[in-house]
Amino acid sequence: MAELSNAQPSEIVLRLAGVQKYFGSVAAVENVELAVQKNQLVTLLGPSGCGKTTTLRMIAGFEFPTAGQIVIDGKDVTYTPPNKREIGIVFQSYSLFPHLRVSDNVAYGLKRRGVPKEERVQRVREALQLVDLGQFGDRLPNELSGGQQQRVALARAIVIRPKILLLDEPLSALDAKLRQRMRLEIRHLQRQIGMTTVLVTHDQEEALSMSDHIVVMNKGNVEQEGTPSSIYRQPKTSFVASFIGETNLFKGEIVHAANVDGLLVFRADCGFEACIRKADNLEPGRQLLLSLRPETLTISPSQGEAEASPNALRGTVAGINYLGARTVFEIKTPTRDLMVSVQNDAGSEAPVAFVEGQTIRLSWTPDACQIVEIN
Amino acid sequence: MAELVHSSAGVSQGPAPAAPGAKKAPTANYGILLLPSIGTLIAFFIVPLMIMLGYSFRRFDGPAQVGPVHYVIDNYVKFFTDLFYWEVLGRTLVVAAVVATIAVVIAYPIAYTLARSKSRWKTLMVVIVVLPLITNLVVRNYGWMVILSDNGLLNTFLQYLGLPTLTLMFTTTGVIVALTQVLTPFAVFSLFGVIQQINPQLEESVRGLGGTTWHVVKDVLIPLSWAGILAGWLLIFVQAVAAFATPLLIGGGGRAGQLLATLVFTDAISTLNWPFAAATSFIMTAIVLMLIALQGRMLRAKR
Amino acid sequence: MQNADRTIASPVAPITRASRPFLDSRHLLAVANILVCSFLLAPILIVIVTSFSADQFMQFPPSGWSLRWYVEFFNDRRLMDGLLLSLALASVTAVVAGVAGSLAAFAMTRMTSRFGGLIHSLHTAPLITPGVVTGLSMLIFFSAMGLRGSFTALLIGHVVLSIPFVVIIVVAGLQSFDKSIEEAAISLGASRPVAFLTVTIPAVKTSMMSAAVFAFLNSFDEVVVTLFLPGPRTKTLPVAMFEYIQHNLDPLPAAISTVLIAIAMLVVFVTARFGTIGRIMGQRL
Repeated sequence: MAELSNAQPSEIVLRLAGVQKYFGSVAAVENVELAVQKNQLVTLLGPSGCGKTTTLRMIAGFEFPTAGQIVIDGKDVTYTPPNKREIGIVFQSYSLFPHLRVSDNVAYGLKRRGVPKEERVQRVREALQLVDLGQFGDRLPNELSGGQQQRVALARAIVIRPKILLLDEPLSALDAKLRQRMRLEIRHLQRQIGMTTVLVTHDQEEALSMSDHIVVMNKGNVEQEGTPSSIYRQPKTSFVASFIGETNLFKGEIVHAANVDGLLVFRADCGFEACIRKADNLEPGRQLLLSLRPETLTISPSQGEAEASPNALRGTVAGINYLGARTVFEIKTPTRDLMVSVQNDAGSEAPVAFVEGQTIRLSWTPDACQIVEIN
Repeated sequence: MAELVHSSAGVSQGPAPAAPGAKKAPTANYGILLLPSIGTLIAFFIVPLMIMLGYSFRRFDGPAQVGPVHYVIDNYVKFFTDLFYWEVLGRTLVVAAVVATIAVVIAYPIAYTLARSKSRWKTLMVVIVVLPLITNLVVRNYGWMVILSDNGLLNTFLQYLGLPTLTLMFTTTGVIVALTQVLTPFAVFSLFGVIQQINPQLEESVRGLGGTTWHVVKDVLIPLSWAGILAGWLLIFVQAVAAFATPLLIGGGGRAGQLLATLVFTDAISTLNWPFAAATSFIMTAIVLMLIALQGRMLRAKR
Repeated sequence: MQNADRTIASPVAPITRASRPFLDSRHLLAVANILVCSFLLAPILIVIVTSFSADQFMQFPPSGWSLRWYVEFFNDRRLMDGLLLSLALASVTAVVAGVAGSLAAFAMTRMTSRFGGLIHSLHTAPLITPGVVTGLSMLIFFSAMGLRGSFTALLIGHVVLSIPFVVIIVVAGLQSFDKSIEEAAISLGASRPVAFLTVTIPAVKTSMMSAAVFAFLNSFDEVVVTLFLPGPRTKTLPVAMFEYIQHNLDPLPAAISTVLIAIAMLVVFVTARFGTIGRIMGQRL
């Protein structure tokens, strides 16, 4: 993403400036700034009640902001009704017209735009083929499966060639397996036809796997935004660190420089200590949070050969959750329990190399330690 | 095969064959509980209706008298051969159709609001809709007399505005206005149920795809609430056909007040021609039943 | 990376600001609602306002305010007799229809009979039969019995018309009652009748109460069938008022109406407290 914007300043299709939405005296959206570049898939991610859906509804025009401005393609649409906005929207419940056949559902937006009959038929056919439903035009929506209905909704939204495609929790009504497949399909389709897309979800996995850019929202505000990997690897707030993925979070402060060059010692309130990389803004005495992702920790047998690592401690295995591709261990240490995720070896006979109660050695690199500001 | 069906039916009914009396006894007790109401309804509702059916096939033999039991269809022939009764029948059906149509149209926005909005005005609206139903029939009609009469509220207001006054008391228009007010709540309830079942996001989908409010109404609301529209319309039509106090009070003794139900009343109480009154009420009932059957058919065809 | 993130917050520059639309379909809907609600409310409000008129004849707006028409109402012997008759009739109807209808409702929810559908239809038929049809049939029937114009005829008529309401309300109450509670009582040693009396009846008591209240209201407001059973002993208050307004147009009926509305409101308020008004309204349609 960084390269992309450096190489050629991308065209911004959608921009929200200082957007607020109050329902009575309750703030659903306190202050949202957002810019979506052409052909990108941007995800609004957050727990329910964080304002992401209200933001989407304001982009669509179903709600008007209390303050702020919404611009689509250089035009102020803040108070433009939805039918004049050139947006395509897919709802969680698909919202297919139950009394219209699939092809009439897809043709609906074209009819409203006065597209002549022949072109309409042609575009509907193309759109249905695009979502792999070429044969289903004559069916009624309730004769299709959930995944198929979802694809019809998608076809209906994209056939009008909207400036922006809005997806409101589009996959949450599907079962887990289908959801994963639809993620790939939507992403593939979005790339293929080059459609600027805003996705709303509370599912962090969905957000990480589908997005070019993620906007994490909490309590009506943007907490952090960036590429999926930057959001995951460099959370800027404790909310982001704990909401995206699993993590071991410690509250504490920098105590002093470590005896190894370029490192500092962080001590958590519980007594846990770790060496972290030196940085300009890290002076001793500052209250900070430390995030250690479970997969950055390494477990080895305690009596085995210990490689030199500044961060290591002894613990006992308190719990083992075998999850197929990986195993999550709960490790009891003198200070507090830690979660450790280990990738399982495909060739290995025994799925898990450790047993409960076993004493082990935990280690991690200073780079695994993410410092998060307290806010 | 028959054996199989029989035995499975036996199982589903519960008790093992060892205790055949155990099932029978409570059912018999329940039968006793039904006696008072069934007895009352048969003796004082079904039997009178049967007697009345008999009367409709007997001759008028002086006030409140019937001729000897010669069953004849004179009364029905009289109804269908006299132009006067055709006119009354026609007026009744037209008034009922107009009332039902207006009621459904004006009930729609209210039902839609009740089904969709979370506004705090909602409770007040429910009260306003229910109020005509719990207000005494005579009271409601009296209220309309106060409003519609020649020196009534409406004409006072029109005069105040310098507009020509209207004659509404003892006119068909007046009857329609009053009946519509009385019956609109039924349309609200019948529409409310179906509108509530329409996914609100369908309306947003229409707008998102470029449709206006008109398209929302035409492409989503009307097709998807069609069953409720039809049911509400028919419910009101049937009640308007049978309405009697409102035409009598607002329509008066003239033509405007002459509808099927008031005709039955005049024949029953003033001219005391019970056989003809009975025939008229059965014609009215037949129309109502036919329409209900028709509605069932239309709904099935829709599905 | 970091810069790319931040460019997003840059201010929106040269775009002409849109202004909020003045009118949309929501306003249109609100206007429609106000108009229709006014239409529904108009005759009722007018009656209440008029009842406080000080004028000799009907006119609007009244030239002055007084309680004279209430005084007149309470001093009118015939009207007071009508009110007492209505109250007595409604009370007896509520008890008789309440008991008979509740018993039937219990039987109907418990027994499995192939006549179940027929029995149910019989119990709701008076509700859907046009009032003039029921009225005329009762006029013919009670005349033949020599009971025309008697209190007995009136009472029977009102009981017939009220049984459907009671059955519908109590059946609804019993259907929402979890039968396994009764079975639990039996498993704990109660006999079937004891379980019925100690568990089932108390559980549906509120339904039965509101059914009786509804029967009261139904009888108290009844005019159509009552008009078909004329006689000196059958002049209920609504019927007396019906005859009065056919010949007079002074504010006295407004005072009667306001009293009737107040009684109806009171009864409905009580019923609403029992939490069944919604169910009644739903079933009635």
